[in-house]
Amino acid sequence: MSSAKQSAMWDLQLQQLLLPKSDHDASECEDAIAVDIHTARFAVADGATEAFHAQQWARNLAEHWVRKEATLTIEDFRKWVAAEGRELHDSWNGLTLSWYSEEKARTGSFAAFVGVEQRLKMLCLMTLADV
Amino acid sequence: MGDSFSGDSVRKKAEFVAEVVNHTLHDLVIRCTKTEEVRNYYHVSVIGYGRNVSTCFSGPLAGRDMVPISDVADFPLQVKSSYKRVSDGAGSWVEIPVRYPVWIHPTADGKTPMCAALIRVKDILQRWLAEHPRGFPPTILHLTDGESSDGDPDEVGRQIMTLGTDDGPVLLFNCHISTRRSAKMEYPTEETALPDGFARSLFAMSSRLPTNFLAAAAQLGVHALEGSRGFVFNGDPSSIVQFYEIGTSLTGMTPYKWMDVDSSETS
Repeated sequence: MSSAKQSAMWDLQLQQLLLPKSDHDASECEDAIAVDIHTARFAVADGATEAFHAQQWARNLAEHWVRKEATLTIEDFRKWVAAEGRELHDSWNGLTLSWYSEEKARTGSFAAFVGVEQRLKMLCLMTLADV
Repeated sequence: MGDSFSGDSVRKKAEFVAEVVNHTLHDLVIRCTKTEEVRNYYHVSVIGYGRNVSTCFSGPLAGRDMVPISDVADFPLQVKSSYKRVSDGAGSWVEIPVRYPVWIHPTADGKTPMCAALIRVKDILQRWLAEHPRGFPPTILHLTDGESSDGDPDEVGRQIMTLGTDDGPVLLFNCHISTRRSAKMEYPTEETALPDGFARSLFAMSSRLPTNFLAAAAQLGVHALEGSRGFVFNGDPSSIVQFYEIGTSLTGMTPYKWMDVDSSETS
């Protein structure tokens, strides 16, 4: 952890709640939440219901972002999202898909994303929709 | 449906309607697809009438009046291969292979037993509503190219409109298509400008367009107002496409655009 983060004056308490929609079970929930106390990063991602592998995409975004120490610039974020997207697409190669899954995969995956990093007396927010 | 649209000497109405219905089913399946699973957000019935009144599904779905959308997805009559032009993201176009399911083949024969067809629809609805009293109210998209040959459909149409679920009444929308060059009337709010008794009868048995459907119409550039009925008279090919796009916009989603697809088949 960086010295700036170590000396932060904040006393944060954190509780994660991930609730599926009414009449749905947890496995159907396409949202993701992630925390890494070493990087002081927190993230939530809301996978788009109609997208292909939205749950996996939301998890990748949230869980991978909190582990990164990259700067919070839009340029770095774009590069990182593009690399994550390629990795997700590559994971679909070789799958034998039905006609409808094949078409769905062609349109890709979508999620809304919010990431927060705690710094000295400051919270930095990174938020994008439909990445 | 055996004749052609005015100005289209090649494609018969039945062929065009079958194409629109196939694309509509395709659209519904894609909306319900979550990764590799199709969720049963819809149940679908496709009834045709002419010489007989019967379900239009054949092959593995033959004889089934009401089919969950996952079965529609898994049991098309055939899956064709074709190509679709898409942007390459760098200002050019590329062709990519796509697969097209087909459920309905064009059929045109006999008269127009509209009353018998609507009685069949009412029967299917009553059975479905008994099993799904809390579901989203069913929508009936009725397409005809002529006047009823077995009586006035007004009474059975009104009976259908009295059915419903806890969530609201059944929605009955009617689209009359014509090969004549008569002026088309789309989604009118009142019957005064309609040309004859047949048009007024169809108007009377057409539900008002709810808010979500009005939003879908607006997205398509279709003129529809608060109080507009789900009714088209003397419609042309574009009327049919829009009628199905508006009529299946149940959840306020952006209407699915399929007209940009290159329909040339390779097998």
